[in-house]
Amino acid sequence: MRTIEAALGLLIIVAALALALGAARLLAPVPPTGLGVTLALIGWGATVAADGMTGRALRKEDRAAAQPWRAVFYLLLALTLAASLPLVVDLLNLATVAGFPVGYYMAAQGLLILMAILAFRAATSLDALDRAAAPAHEDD
Amino acid sequence: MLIGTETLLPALTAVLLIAAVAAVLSRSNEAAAQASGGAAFGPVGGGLAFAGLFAFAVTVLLPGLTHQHGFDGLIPFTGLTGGLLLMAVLVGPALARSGAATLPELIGQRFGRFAHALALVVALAATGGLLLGALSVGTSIAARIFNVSSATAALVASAAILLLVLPGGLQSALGSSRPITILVGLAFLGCVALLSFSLIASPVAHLGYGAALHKITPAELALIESGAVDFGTFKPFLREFLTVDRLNWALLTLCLMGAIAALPPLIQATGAFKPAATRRGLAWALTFVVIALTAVPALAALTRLETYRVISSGPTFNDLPDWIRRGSETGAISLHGTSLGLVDTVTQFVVGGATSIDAVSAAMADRGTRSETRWQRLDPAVQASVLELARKFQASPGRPLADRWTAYVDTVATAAAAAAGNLSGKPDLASVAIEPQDLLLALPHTAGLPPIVSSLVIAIVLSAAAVLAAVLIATLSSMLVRDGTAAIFGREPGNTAEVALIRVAAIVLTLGFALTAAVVPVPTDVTFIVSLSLAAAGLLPALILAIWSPRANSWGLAAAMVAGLGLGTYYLAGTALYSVSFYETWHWLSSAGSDAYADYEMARDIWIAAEGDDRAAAYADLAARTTGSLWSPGLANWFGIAPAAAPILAAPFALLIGLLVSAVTPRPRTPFLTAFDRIHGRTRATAAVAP
Repeated sequence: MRTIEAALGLLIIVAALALALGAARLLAPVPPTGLGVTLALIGWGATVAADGMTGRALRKEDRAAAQPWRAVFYLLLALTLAASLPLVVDLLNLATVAGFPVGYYMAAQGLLILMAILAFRAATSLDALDRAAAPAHEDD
Repeated sequence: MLIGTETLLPALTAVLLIAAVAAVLSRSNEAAAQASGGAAFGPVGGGLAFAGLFAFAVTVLLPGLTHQHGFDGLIPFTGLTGGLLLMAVLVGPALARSGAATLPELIGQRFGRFAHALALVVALAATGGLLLGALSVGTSIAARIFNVSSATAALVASAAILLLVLPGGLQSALGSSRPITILVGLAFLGCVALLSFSLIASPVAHLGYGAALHKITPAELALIESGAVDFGTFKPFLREFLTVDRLNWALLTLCLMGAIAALPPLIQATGAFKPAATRRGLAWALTFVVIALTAVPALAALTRLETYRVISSGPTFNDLPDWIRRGSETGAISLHGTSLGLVDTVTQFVVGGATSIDAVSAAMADRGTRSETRWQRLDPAVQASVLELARKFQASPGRPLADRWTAYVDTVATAAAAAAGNLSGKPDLASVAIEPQDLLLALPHTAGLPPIVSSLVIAIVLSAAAVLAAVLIATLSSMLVRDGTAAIFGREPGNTAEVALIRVAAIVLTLGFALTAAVVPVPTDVTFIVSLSLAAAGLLPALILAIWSPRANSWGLAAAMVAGLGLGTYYLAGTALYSVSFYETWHWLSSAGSDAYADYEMARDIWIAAEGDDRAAAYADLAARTTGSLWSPGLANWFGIAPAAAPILAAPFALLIGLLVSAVTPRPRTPFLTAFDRIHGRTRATAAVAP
């Protein structure tokens, strides 16, 4: 399952590059995707792939290999979330919650809170993998 | 001049005293603690200290940015928080585990002396630029508030900074950051809660200002319909991508994230955490920053809405409400470029012997670039009316605000409105301007709170600026001494000598930077962008190679840094300074397309055929077509990327070059691989190879 996830991530990256080079024209008369969309798609593909690779390493109980993949996953997730927001902000702004247009809310508060939550999750996860990978040399 | 001067000095002294006591309690004569923070803090305490480094930006720089640019001003919000997350993931406890105190030292352990020296130069430049920008803003505000010259403000600021740095370098500077962060949090959130409660009856601004947002767009539409809006300057609050386009909104955010993650003072400050607490400490720091940051748009939105409400009610200048009068008294709110605060400042000059407009201009220049620019922008007739009113104020001091306001409106505001072509006797939206950096500082007085509250808020914010400058000075001085000697002589000095040298360097650097910031006009936005670009384009790839690539060697590192800085500098300078020749060379990569190039060629033919003054005008037309702003590209660009987003090209390019060069040159020697393993908490025998 994790291998499929990693492969799916790679597939998304390939599709993003193909769309950027104008492959969609083979099916419909649409222009190539712009740099922003391409970066966001590549980011999501790489994030999915990194999560798959982490899962693969953990399934093999290779925590030393899982640790850097987990770090790459959080890193890519943060970058991709930031890169994706401007692409969907208009769409999100169609909805309003408690007076907040949702797109604006995400840029002003939502994404920030999400980053903080991710930071705690990353800290817990990476610290645990660190301890598991090098119990004899853990400095705490 | 901001109000509260009588209580301001005691308030500032008291707050600085608190910071100084905290600094003394964190004192140390250990060189490692001076340079790294001493690994003394747990996650929450360290997180508080770390978050304090963002206090000045949150209270002074970002409210104005959000107020002016609305949605587009939110780029730093995601950039700062995402950058801290990246730092927790990328760097984590690497510095503490490696035993290095500074970022260049970490690079040196992994790649040797040459890489150490290269990283040191870039780290010094990035940190020095930030320090210069922060001091420039800080001393300019202090000079205006205390009504003293910029040089005097710089000297006093230097004394405050040294008070926090000398007891224990970075450790004492970060120690002083903790109480100041708590005070900043109380002051900032308290002010925003007060504003929120008084305007929308909700003390929790974070949640309540949705009600204000809901009213903003209809209020803007009403103002547009009534013709009270200047479309040249007006930016609807919720409208996206007016200052920065969609692509560059994303790219600038990513660049800021990368820059924050690789910024030398921040990385060095991670040494303050106990090694096992670094990631959680950074998560706590991020949480504290988020709590403050999420209140900033509330402040901006509520201020905008209240301004709209006043303008749409169509008052004359004389009928403007008390909060605008008090805001004008502080100099934070101006009408057609003038304010009651400006008249008060000129009155001080008149008391000091300035009797002519030239003398006032000279005195304004002494207050810093910002004051001088604002004064020079005024029409001579307006300057004359300000001077005349100042003489009257000097002759009859102590008049109540209502009297002074009437006199100001009848003379100065009327003259300024006439000079701007506004003969209606009523302010429109463009004529009422709020000084971006004073949005929070002036809020307590504008809201009619007692002077002591106003003084305390100002004192706390200025102390936060001093703490930030102290951390930057501690970082610079320790890098200069510790890494400088190691890079030049191959070894660090003994503990006593190193501590003494760090302290001497701190004194020299503090005085040098403070006086430079006071005397030399510093374009702070450019300074910040260059510093952050250096970090993102030069140091981020180096950091990734050092921490995440065991195969990377010194050749690869040097190639990566040179390639990243080279490409970043070329793109930034090419698109911002030499845009015509840049577009000539790279028009096929520009997002503008072939039609735009055809138009450009026609304009170029006109320039080639022109002579004399016409030739200069034709070239100016060419340059105007090809040059955009730092945030928004002109014709000269690659793929539509803005000049300030240059690191988005430079950092991946640098990484690629670094990996390629490392792959074709000899493997790193064992000491460098041992250093890699140490960063990951492993020994050579049990090392597992990272991907």
